[in-house]
Amino acid sequence: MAPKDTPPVSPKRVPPVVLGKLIDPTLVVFFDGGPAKNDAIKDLVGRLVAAKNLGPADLFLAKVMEREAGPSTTLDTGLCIPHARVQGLQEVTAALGLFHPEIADPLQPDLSIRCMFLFLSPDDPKFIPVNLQVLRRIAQVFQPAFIEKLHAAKTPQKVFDLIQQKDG
Amino acid sequence: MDEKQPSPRPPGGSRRAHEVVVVTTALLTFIPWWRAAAVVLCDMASTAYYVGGIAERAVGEAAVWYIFGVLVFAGALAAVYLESCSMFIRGGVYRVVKEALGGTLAKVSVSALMFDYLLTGPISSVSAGQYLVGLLNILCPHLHIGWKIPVAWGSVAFACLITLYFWRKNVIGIEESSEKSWRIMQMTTVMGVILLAWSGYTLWLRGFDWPSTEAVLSEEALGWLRGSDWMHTVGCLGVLAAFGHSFLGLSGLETMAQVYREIEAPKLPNLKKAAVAIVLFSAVLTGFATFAAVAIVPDDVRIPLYADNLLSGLAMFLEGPLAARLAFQSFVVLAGFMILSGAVNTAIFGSNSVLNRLAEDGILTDWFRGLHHKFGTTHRMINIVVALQLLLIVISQGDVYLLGEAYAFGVIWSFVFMVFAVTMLRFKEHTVREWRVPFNLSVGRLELPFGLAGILAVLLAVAGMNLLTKKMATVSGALFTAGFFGLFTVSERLNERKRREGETLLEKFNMRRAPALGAALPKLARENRVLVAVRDHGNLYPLRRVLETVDLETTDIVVMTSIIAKGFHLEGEASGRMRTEEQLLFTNVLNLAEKYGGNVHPLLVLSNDPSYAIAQAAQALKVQQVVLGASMKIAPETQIERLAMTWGALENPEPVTVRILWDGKELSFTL
Repeated sequence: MAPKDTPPVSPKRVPPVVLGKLIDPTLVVFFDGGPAKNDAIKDLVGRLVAAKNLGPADLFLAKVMEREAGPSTTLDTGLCIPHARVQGLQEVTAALGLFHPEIADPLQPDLSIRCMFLFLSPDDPKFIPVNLQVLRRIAQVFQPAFIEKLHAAKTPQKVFDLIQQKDG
Repeated sequence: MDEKQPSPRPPGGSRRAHEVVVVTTALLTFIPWWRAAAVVLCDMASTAYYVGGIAERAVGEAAVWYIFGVLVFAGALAAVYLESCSMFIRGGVYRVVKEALGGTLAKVSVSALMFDYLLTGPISSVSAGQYLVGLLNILCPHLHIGWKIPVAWGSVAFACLITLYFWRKNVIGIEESSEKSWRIMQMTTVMGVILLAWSGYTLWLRGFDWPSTEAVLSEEALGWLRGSDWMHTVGCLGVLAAFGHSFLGLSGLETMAQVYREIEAPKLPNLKKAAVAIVLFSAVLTGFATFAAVAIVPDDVRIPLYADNLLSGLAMFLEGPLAARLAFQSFVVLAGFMILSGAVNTAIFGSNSVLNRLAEDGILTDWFRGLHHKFGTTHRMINIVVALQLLLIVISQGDVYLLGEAYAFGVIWSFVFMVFAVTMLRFKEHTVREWRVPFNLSVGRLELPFGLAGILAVLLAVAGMNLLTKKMATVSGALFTAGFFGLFTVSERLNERKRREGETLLEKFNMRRAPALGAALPKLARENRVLVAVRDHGNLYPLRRVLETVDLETTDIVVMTSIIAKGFHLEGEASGRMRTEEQLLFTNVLNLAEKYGGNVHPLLVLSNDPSYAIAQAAQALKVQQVVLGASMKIAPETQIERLAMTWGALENPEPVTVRILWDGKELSFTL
């Protein structure tokens, strides 16, 4: 059986991804009270779609949940990176959630989530390398110490400023 | 890996690799063609030291021409081995005969081969002892030492010591042994050049008579034909008998097939180079040394005094002052001691390889394949072979002629089976071969292998004549062959019972726990490194592509698999039982690596997250490329996404190229 979705070979390097340019303070959300992971994803998708005027939120949410059914997007650093590639998008766009207290990943109960960096990107083979660099960069920047700092920031603007300083 | 302050402890569980297990086996090293040639020559070229004396005792001074003839014939036999190796990586007698003629004849052929290997050690070590004792007995009076060492038992004692020394070396492993063979051949080459040059000078100065071409068979050499008129009425029978008595010169060629597995890439071209070197070297050294001995050493002393150390006799009769001749004789004996000892090594190595093939095929029970706890070698097989060799040394009481005659049985019959099998495979197996024995005639759609048929005809004729003229060889050879055949048959039946009970026969591996990934493979030294992550023993396509495409001389290839840590226990440093899935996987990895002659470093990482395991291994081992196979369940780009995340989560990750390979397609990105 051949693997699904065989895009063309693309061994090119991509320019560095700058996380500070993917996000803005209005899309930084503090979740108090420990919502379920899927509810948090739904909330972030809704805000992101509305803020960027992308279209019906259900479509984007379905794509993100479809991806969530695949290989895990949660790391043992307390970071979760839900994401999806969607037709019609022109650029990568993202939202950030911070959880206090941390929440559990229902598919991997031994891992907990303190930070959720959700992003949407164009469903275009040319963006696959960009996608990978975004994932790599997010995982690289959002290490436990940095997530602690974000939690201590208290306001979305301060969180955004910290991200800008770290990777602006 | 960098030693830094650890990051704040991540919340919840950790997915980082828990334990690292390095998989080892003594059979994962590869050698260049010239070392492979040295291993074979340590057996074949060593016959220069005794074949002349044995053959001349049997057929008179015409033995020189028959030895030359046999060494020319060696080229034909080497071609047969090239063809068999082009078909099978492990293309020795057993495998080839089994493919062509079935399991029973394969067991018979390998039984004869084992008799060959068992006697190679004793004849070589006893001959070395003869040379050494002969030298000491000559030197002692000149040094005013009143020793006179008994030749027979003195040579037996030295033979036992040599055998025990190489027993130990083989238990340690092949890499050590091939290095030793190379050094020995370097010394032998120097000795040979001096011998040829000095002999040539002596012959030029004194003139010489060409040795007679008429074979005069001794009473002993007639065997069961003694007293019969056949030898006198049918002239060619005498030629065949003489040829048969000179066949010792060909011993060692089977080691070509055994050593092929260890030859580095490109395998067959390297084996060809080795074959040419082996045949030429043997022909020049053995052929000319024997000629010089007959032409220079007087008839009245050559066989009576120097039959068992002919080259020593030659050294003593060269033109020049006594001191120089004594010094050169010492050097000849030293070189002889080394190369004959090397033949002991080759015999142990060769027989161990043959027995390993039998064990892999289920002929020998698993007990025989038990690995040495420290060196990872099949030490039980080595121990059995050496024990039998020591027994034969003692039984022979130092009689080189007796050993030589018995030896020829195994040599010739293993060749007969080999050539017959390769010939049959021309008709049974029609796949394209990289190399074929030449002189093939196409008749319509049929191709007739005249070259192979001619070689087979000669071998059958000589083998048949040997049965009649070598009584001791025929009796002892038949008994040993029957004995081995019986052992193999019983052992195979026991294994069949186990197989019916569900036990799978796999390669044996040792495991060594490493404290961290960075410390797992200290021997990685090449500038390029590739990590190949494998999972499915039936799908090693990514590894095959890597072996086919990278420069194996400048690239280290680490092959890793990751399994869930829960349920896998290692007790102590080097024990622990690998599960069948991992054994199957690494057995197939090993087979693939052998096929391409590429060194691979197997690694087993115990972790709860394969992506983390791959990322951490890649970082710790400083690889430039990570290669994976495509998943059947998710898209390749989705597969790489998880790796991109775990790669980013590492501390200070360097860029790495990730390639996913499947069915001629590739997806690759740099992270």
